[in-house]
Amino acid sequence: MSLAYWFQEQPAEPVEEGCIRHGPGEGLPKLIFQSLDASRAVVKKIATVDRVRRKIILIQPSDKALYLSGLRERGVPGYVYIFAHARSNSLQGVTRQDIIVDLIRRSGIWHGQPIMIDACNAGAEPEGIASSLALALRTFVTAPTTTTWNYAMGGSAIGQGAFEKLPGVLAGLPFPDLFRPGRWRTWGPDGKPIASTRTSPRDGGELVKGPLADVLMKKP
Amino acid sequence: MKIFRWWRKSSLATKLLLALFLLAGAWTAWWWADSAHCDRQDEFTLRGICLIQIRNSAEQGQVPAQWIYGNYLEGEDRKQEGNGWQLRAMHGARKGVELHDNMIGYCDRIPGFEARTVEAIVQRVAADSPDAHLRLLQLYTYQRCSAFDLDKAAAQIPLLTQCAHLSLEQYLRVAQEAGRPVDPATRQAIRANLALCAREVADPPPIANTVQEFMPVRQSDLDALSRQLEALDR
Repeated sequence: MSLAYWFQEQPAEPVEEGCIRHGPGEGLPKLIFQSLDASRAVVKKIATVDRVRRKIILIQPSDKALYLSGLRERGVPGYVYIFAHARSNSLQGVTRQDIIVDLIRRSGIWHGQPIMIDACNAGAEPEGIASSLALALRTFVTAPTTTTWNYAMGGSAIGQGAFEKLPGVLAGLPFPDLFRPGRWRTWGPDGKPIASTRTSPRDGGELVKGPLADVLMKKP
Repeated sequence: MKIFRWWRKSSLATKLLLALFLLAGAWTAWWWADSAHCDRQDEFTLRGICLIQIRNSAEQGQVPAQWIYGNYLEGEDRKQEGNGWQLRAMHGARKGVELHDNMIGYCDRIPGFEARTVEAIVQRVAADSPDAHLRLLQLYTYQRCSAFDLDKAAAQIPLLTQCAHLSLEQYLRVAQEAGRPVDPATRQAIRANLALCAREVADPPPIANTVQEFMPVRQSDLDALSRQLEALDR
């Protein structure tokens, strides 16, 4: 990735159906949706769809580091991978699961397979957004119980997983609290939680080794 | 000049420390200046000057700012405070566009967003702002809320002032799931709305300060809805 990407203002992405015209996601299909921005105006935003890796990226290209992180994510075989901002009750600011269902269906990459949501706190509540999505789509949904950490330049899984923020005033810093790992919770098609694990399906089942393994395996 | 004399006399460590302070100061100044661009931020990326402006606007009673600020606080682990601002926004809504999606999504799940309260507020707004009938249709077809009522939903369809392709699809889907027939008058109202949608496909309208569907309509959506209606006619 060139330095210009970080320091130059990118041209505005045209908000019309079709393909991404500018930046690192150029050529990927996009969907248009509406949202309220901080200037208190309703604006059009884009969802980037990667049909090869079966990913839907709801982060906007202007959020450069996170967007790049979403693009370089390998995806999870057998899953549809959703990368977004979230809270326990909403995904990218959307609280109605029927809207997200429409978006997933329109992406053309979902054919009944499980969903993996990589978005902060999306799985924090037993009956939150992940649960309602599982129920609406009648499939399995996996989401993190804490903040997730994704860096544009990648690195080992340590920087890419679910961890709490640092305590107190340090919470604003862009570093995870490695001593407080989160969990990945999975909901069944009936919207009920069925499993909670230290690692997510995207870790590919590989065991984490070394000092990190000790931290992750410690009982909460 | 005194400052140059001081610079020559000072040690390398002092010079490095000063350079570091200058860099940190420049970065902080840039961060504050950049944070004034509210059009580049949303509830997930609010910071600095824009955050202060949004909070001030929320305190002055501006409903969109109250929604944004409430949602922002909710994401900052200040859920109760955030819900308080969202409730203020809901009760203060006067126009259709001020009826945020949260009202339906939180229905019967967050204290204060009980179905009866949400329904009464949307009805009040719809009396003066006809575009809000879309929100009523969405509320009555939302199965997780006890306001769910297919008869009331059908009554909203002839009152719609905008293309409602997603909400109509949702209505037909839940009606089918519930095994409820769609009467001819409702089918006619849906066709009238599809004609409105067809005009939007031919000539996409600019983004308006009214209630709109989450995603713009496409010809394939209209074709699918038309096929569903034809199946009902058979």
